Amino acid sequence: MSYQVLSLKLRPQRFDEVVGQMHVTRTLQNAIGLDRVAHGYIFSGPRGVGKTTTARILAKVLNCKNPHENNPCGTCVNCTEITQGSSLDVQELDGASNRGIDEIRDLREAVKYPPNSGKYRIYIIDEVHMLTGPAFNALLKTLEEPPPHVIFIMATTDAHKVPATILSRTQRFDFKQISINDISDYLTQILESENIKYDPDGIRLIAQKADGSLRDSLSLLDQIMAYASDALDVETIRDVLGIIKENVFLNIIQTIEKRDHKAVIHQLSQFIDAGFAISDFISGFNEFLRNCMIHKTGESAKLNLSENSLSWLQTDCRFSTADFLRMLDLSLQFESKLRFLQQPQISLEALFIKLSMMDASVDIASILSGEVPNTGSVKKPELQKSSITEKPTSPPIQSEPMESPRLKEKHSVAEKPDTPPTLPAVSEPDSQQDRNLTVDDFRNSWNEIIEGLEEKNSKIAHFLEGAILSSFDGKQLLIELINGHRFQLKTLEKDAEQIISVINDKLNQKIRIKFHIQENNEEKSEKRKLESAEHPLFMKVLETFEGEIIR
Amino acid sequence: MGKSAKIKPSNLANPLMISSDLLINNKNWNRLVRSWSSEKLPHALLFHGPEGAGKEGHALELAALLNCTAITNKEPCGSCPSCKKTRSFQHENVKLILPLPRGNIKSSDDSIVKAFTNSTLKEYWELLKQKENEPYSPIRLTGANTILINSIRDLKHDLALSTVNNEWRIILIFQAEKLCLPSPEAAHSLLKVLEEPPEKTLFILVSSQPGAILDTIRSRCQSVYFPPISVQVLQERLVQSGADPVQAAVMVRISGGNVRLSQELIENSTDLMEKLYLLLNACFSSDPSIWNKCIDTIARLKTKDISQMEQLFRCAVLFFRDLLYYSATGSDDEIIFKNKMSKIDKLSKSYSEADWHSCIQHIENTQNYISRNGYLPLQIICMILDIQKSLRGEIYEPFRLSDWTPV
Repeated sequence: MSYQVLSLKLRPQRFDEVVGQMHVTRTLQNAIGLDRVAHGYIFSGPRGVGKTTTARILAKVLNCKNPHENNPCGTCVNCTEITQGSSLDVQELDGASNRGIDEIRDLREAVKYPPNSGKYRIYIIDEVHMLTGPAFNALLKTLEEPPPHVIFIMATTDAHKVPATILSRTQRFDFKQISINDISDYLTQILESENIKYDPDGIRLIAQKADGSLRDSLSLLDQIMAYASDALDVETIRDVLGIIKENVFLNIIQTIEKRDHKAVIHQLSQFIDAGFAISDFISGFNEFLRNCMIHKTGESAKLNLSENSLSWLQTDCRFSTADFLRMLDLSLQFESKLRFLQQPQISLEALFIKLSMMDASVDIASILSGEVPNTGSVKKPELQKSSITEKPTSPPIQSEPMESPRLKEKHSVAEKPDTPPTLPAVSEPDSQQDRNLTVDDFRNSWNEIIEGLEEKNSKIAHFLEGAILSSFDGKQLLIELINGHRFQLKTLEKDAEQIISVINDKLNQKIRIKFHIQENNEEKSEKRKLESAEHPLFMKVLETFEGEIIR
Repeated sequence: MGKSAKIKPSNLANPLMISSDLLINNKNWNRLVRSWSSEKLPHALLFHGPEGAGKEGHALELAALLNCTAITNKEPCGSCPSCKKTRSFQHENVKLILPLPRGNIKSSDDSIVKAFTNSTLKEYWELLKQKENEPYSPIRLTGANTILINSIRDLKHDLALSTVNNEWRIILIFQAEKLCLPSPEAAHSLLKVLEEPPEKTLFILVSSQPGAILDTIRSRCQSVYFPPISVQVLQERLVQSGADPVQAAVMVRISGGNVRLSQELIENSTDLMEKLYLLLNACFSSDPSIWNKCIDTIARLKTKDISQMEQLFRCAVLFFRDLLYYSATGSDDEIIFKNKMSKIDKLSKSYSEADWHSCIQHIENTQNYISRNGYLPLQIICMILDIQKSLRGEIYEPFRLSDWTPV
């Protein structure tokens, strides 16, 4: 006799043994008690919640010789035959294999004959959603008005694939996913009856991993019982389920906090080499982040956090709720994309480097109320940007005792959202910085530059004649075109190399150029301003961020 | 095969007799053996994990173990008739199910024998022979897209009969995700028998895409995860077979712990490196003629050798990963392309504002689009342009229709 897995060994034989489906079993029992049994049932619900089992119990109780309180006795001839699967009156069909119209025709023929030893002839059609369209239609008439001794019980995971005409001729019962509590209670019961030592926390882990399916939880338990010879402690269970210890996540997040990129990568690769699946890792990490986030909001609900993590969260942790939220957002995005990735490990590394480079979040309200010093431009929030923030925040926003590691003094003109992407030539921007030029230097020699250009390309020179030099930050010169047209801008951008080389000749300085069209259409912008002025908050945001209305 | 067949690691402890080339995953193997020896082996197992991690090899070992007549030290002996038959896929109680071409099959009632035309049969035998010698070689028949429902029906018929000698009956289902792809007919028709099979029957489903398998199938199996072979072990294995250490490091990373792939890669690594150079050149250049050259090469690869095209993109991702790592940490400890150090250094300095993370995403996306039959030249051009945008540190935003308002 080979080993029988728990889910088969423990298949319920009575209605009150079915776990977590009270709404179904009670209705059925009452229906039997009141003699209001329908001639067609359809049981739908996710995998492993008891559809086939309930169908078999129903068949048994209907044909049982001496039912007890609407439960089958389990000992009479009919009951034992049904349990063994040898009953002539109860036929279990596999809808996925016998799905053609021919099989249904055979079934229609057989339906005519009265039952052999029980009261009813019962047809259990499992996986009924796989019947073909013609097969369903062939069944319709029989299902609507079967002979009085026939009962159909259909079970399916995909009720939406069953035609509405079938559904409306049957009573439909939706089976629920089973709650974690119900599963862990059930598992505890089994272990106690089998006399196996266990750890309640570990049992809860199994129940969580089973994702609402009792059969899944039993397969897992089987697996663990085979692995651990005597007692089921949390360590073993973790090991088999591939659940990662919380300390690992704590270590990683602390390394992220320290911005130690190298150590982050090192920890990750250690982890992968140890044979853990990336999907397990990231889902565990998300769970951990979620717990941290909820803890930070001050919610005192029971969170599965270890002492170490709690003490870290309460004392050293520099992350705020918003920080956790942003990290969670990124790693959730990663989790959803994981299936499609060719090289998940590389993307995982990249994700963690990105996390460790993230700046602290700043609340918009706190900027507006002036709590956070705000001069110049404010960096866009990380989430929208989807780029590693190596761009300087100038100056750093210090709402929390932390500093972004890479601060460069640079006025970020590029932050203005309206300037079109105009960096001509990906040339290497490093050049000699011995002479510090200002805008005035350019203005003084502007005429010379224009003349120089005239010889090379008279068109550009013409376009530039009316232009205003607005700013220079040491590397980049911003040129405003008054009332310029888009095609002027394009032409200038295309020939920017020429302009740069002329400037280089005259001033001996290699720079970058950025063009910008200055709208002089006051009427238009005035009207818009009036419209938007209706919202004072909007205006305040504009003012604080030194923004501009684009459209 | 040629060279890869010669690779025989000598110092890697290999406890099994049946196939000396298989790198055994001790954790999983011990677990399986333990549940076997305590008579708690379930009736259905799902081996999942990335390709080339030895899942099929382990499945065969387990099949051999169950029916071996001279078990020594809880290992299959490899020399008894049963082991020999299992090894050469001739065992009457070990049934192999895998995707097959449709052949002469007209309806779902036809016997599976009709799937085998003369040419298919010949190919099939050859692949089985290869598999016998090299546990990592794949069995992929041409024109085979799915596991046919006919296979499952024949299987059910067989299961209704009793076995010879009361031995274990083992059903190996390779590429089990193909039960559900492209349509789940076969999977559904397997459900009932998978839940309640006859006694002494063991199903071993093997899949590298467990996510594609129906929930209802997965919940009936105990799953065993086979992680990729660790970088060190695989690298060692390659270096022992005479590969250059730096190249071995690169190829191992590209293969992602896939033994079979790493062996193939090392054989044509120089070719791959040349193409990588071409691709990277295009990514960092503004000259459309260079782009065109790159597109031509990749387009030719796609028609000729699609797997090499995938490897090329993987290489490129690795290179950008190095750049990301180097510009984040400034250290060269974990750099993969150690021989290109000077280049990496230069690039990371001259593109100090670059968003390397997005570059990796662009390549991953492009690879994804191409695999879904996106128009190749367009995809590559888009990738190059997107990468160049990211190199300048510009924000990557996908194109939206609302952006496109006439001036």
